[in-house]
Amino acid sequence: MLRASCEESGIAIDLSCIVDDTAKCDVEHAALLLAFADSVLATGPDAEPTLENVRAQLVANLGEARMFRAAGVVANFQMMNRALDVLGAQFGREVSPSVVELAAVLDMQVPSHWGNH
Amino acid sequence: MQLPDDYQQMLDQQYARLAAPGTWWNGAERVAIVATMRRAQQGELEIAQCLGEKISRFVHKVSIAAHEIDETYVKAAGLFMTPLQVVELTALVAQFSALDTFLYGAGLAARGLPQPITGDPSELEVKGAKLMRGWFPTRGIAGAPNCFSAVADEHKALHDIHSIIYLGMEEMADLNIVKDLHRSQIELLAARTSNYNDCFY
Repeated sequence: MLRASCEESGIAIDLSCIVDDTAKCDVEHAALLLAFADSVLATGPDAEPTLENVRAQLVANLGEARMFRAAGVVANFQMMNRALDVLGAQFGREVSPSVVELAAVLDMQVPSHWGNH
Repeated sequence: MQLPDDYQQMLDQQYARLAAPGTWWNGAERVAIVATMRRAQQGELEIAQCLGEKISRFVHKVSIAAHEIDETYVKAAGLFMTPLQVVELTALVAQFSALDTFLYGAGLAARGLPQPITGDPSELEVKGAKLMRGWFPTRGIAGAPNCFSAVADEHKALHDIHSIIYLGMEEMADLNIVKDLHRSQIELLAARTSNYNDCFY
């Protein structure tokens, strides 16, 4: 969906920006949004003070409503990731080359059951 | 900070709903599932008395390592839970992981767990739910919108939450939508979160 929304809007993006903060990403306020997602999901003793700091920057730059939305999106994918991982949905009859390519970019494994039917 | 009314109402409804008897678990079991999820996310394995060890360990796995779950693991769970119990359990872990994350991320006070309401699960079955390219029954081919569709109340809850904190189904069709954030910003956050969870979906 990230690639599709960027293409639709004419926004340049290298999808490796998901794992590499130096990769090209012209999404507005990308660095701040990614820092916010990271700090919401982080654990450890420094996690909460870091989150407070990043949240304050987000509110200062984008306003409260956008901060709530950003927190909501991170939260939503905490839900959907667990739902889909347990559901074991299979997509298509075979794994498409673009999916294999994306997995390589993100250094992730395509779930072994995809296309397995 | 003033949380908008639609968020507030959704949160109130979901935390209240947790305590009531569900479809395949009673109120005490539902609250114990979410309590076990919270402990797991704090790095602790809690064996809830009313769930027993095997189900508590399943909750722990869904809570912190759902990406490691494979077909062998879900088949093994079939020895101590029915498929529809797994769907409701997973829905509770997933939904309350989301709601707790939202409150924490937004800097709002965490909510305590409600007192369970007594009563039996409804055991209402959903007509037409069956295995369709997934490990658990769904209405239609398994995917994000219908992942909990074999348990009607959990299906509704997912969409109630999803449409407030992310996008509703109609909004999702608009790749250029602005809902506080532009769609590209929304999907950037989604992709980073999914990568953090090692979830390729």
